[in-house]
Amino acid sequence: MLDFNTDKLINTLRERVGDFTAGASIYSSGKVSRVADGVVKVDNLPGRCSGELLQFGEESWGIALDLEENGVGAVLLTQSGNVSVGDTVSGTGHPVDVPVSEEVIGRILSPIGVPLDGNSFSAKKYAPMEKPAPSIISRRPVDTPLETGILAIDSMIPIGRGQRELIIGDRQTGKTTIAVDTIINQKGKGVICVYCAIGQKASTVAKVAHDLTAAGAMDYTTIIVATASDMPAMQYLAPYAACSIAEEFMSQGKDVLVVYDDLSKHAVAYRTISLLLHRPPGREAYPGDVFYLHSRLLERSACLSHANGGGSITALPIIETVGGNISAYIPTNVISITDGQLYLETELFNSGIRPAVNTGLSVSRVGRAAQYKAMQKVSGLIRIELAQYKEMAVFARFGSDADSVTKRILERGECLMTLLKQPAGSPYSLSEEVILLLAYRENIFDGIPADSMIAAREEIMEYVKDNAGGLLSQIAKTGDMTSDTEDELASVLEKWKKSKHWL
Amino acid sequence: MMEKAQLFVPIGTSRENVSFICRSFEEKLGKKLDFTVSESDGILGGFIANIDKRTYDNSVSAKLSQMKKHLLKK
Repeated sequence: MLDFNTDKLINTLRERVGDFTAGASIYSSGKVSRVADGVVKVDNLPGRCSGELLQFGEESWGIALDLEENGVGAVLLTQSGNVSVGDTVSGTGHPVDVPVSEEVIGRILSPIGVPLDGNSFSAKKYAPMEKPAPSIISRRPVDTPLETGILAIDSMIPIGRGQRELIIGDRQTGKTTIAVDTIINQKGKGVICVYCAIGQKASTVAKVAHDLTAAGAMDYTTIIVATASDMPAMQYLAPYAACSIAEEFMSQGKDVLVVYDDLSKHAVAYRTISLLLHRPPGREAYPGDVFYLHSRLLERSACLSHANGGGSITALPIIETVGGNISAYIPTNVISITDGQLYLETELFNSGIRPAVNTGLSVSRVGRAAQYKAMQKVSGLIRIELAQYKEMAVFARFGSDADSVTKRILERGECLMTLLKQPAGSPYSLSEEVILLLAYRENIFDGIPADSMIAAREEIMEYVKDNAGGLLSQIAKTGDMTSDTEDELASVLEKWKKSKHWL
Repeated sequence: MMEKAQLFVPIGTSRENVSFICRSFEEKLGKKLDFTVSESDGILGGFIANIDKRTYDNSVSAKLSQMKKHLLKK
């Protein structure tokens, strides 16, 4: 039985009806002259602006993309079954917008705010999807780390808050896993996360949502979804909707992480729309403004100055390559826009090195400014050592006798490669990463057989937490490590090593 | 040359009412209009006029939509 106050309901209705006056609606209107593949040609709809939300009857919506002298070319946001030739079209007078208030956190929504997680939804505030990027003067340099919890990335390719770091690789190389692990690692760090799924399978998005829910990450995450079965216009809008949500929180002085998964499918959706609107195709049939499609999106990620609230948006766009070709059109476009890339290789993935990050081709243009001081102190040389190991490993395959220096490089390199392997869904904290790299630097892992390395890694972390927990808390709190702390930790690690049977 | 216009009215609307609507528009807009009048079973009451790329929707359906939005607004 419904439990509500009847009198209150009647009074509310009486009040609302009482102050209602009906008048004629007067609006500019046009007529649909052609509908095909989600693209609508509307005759005689003057005064529209680009990107304006159009209404087709009661239930269908579209956006005006092509403004012509005698009409408008629009793309439908919903399936075209309800739109026929001759239907009246009216403009709403405003661009398409997205809900951006606090209510979006923890929800799975479509780009236009339709809830997809089975619960009702209403928002207090809406914002347009397209907005200009922050000006140069309103920004400040990136100086605060955004920890991914992935040792290989935090140590050698550090990401800062406000940076755009591209995740690029072939299919099934762990791109989404890195992004999801990064989101999971933001728990308790005050970073709001937005995961934007563009053109993905619904089952894939469901898995991501499940993983985030299981890790407790949905308490600070919003998922914006335009699956592969949604209209190309919806897939086109999805990343801009996600960015608008992120900008709202950034304007409140908060740090936000946005994942765009993936922009390759976004470019394909935009190509579909452009070709159907008869825009001239360019290279690989993409329209001429496909660079601008991504540049205007990614430029909205910024680190604002303290005078402007100090908030930031860190973007992790994902690009899928084919055959490892990072010189293709869309990958090179996005590489030139972002502040670095994480290049994932299929060969590394298949040989068990996961995350499959090619540290030689990956870069972070922000660099050490986006690393905690404690991490800077222990990660200094590992990139060089890894590069030396890979070079030597090529010769070791020929089976020739190696001198002691080369053998040492090979042993240390194998140890480091094993250390950098990390299971999915298991991000490390800063102090755990510092322990592991300090142990490596102090040669604690020397002599440990390769098949015992994983167990040794876990044991070391437990041992140090039990015996030097105070020091680790200090590192976690300050992000730095004094030389006394370093020496103390080194001696704890030595004690662990002496207590082990493989010495 | 008179500007063309369309008028959609409910089935059974009297000629007097149709003339009144046409004359009212001509007075309001200050120009002669050549109306094409159509009776539509999709309109229960009121009328819809399309004149010079603008739609003047005075139908019952439009008013009900307005009322719905008004009742549901927060």
